[in-house]
Amino acid sequence: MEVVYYYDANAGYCPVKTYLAKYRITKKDTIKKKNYKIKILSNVNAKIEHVVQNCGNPTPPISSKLSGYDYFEIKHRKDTNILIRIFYFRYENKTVLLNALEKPDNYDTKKEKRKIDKQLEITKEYKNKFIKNPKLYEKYK
Amino acid sequence: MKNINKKNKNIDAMDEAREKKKFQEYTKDANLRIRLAVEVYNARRSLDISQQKLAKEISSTQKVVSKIENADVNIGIDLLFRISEKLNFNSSILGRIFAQDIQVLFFPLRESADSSLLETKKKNSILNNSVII
Repeated sequence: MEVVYYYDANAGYCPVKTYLAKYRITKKDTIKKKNYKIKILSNVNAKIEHVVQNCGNPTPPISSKLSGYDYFEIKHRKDTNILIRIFYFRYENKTVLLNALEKPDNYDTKKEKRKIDKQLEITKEYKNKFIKNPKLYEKYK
Repeated sequence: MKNINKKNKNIDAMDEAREKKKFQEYTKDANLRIRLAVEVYNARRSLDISQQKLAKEISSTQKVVSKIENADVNIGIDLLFRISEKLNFNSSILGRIFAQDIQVLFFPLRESADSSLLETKKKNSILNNSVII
């Protein structure tokens, strides 16, 4: 099974790849900061690999199906109160990473909820676009 | 929510991070936590107990149990012991978590207090290259 990033042709980027780029190690980073970024990326990678080992199927507790949507999510706790959510779905022999976002634990406000709902709808669109054109992807090495 | 930096569009941070030495080390730790998470989740579900109830029985909180099941936390040996006791982890489950052949000798020792049994099992484990707890 192959893992790929969904490529959004209109925007000209892969949403998940672009999201992960915020954890890119730069020269300015201290050793502590570098290790923190590597840790997040390695943990996310391990969870993606775990999903792939299970043929891209949702495997609780590491990945689960979203209620009301026909795609799955991988969750990773970045900090004590911030959760990284990576949405994916399985298409033929591919695990397609569609979108990613950060959810604060205390998102009681309507504004935060609206933002997350909007992202879930955008992810749904990404999935439909990919199904229409399955060449819209970049390889996840 | 999304602040897209144009410079970041074509950067593969994951690929760059893979080249770092620490990446493999952290991946190994993450895989161990994932294996523990899967076993705790499966055992808890098969015993049909809630995270809340398990938390109470291991003198912890539901949030900690949730973090363990999401492979987001590195737990101490004392908590691992309490969890394995409550969820009746046997040697094969512990073996799967640690990716090693583990023989648990607590129970035969408690029951029979037969030191010769321990010696025999120790000899066997050395021959089999396994770990004794």
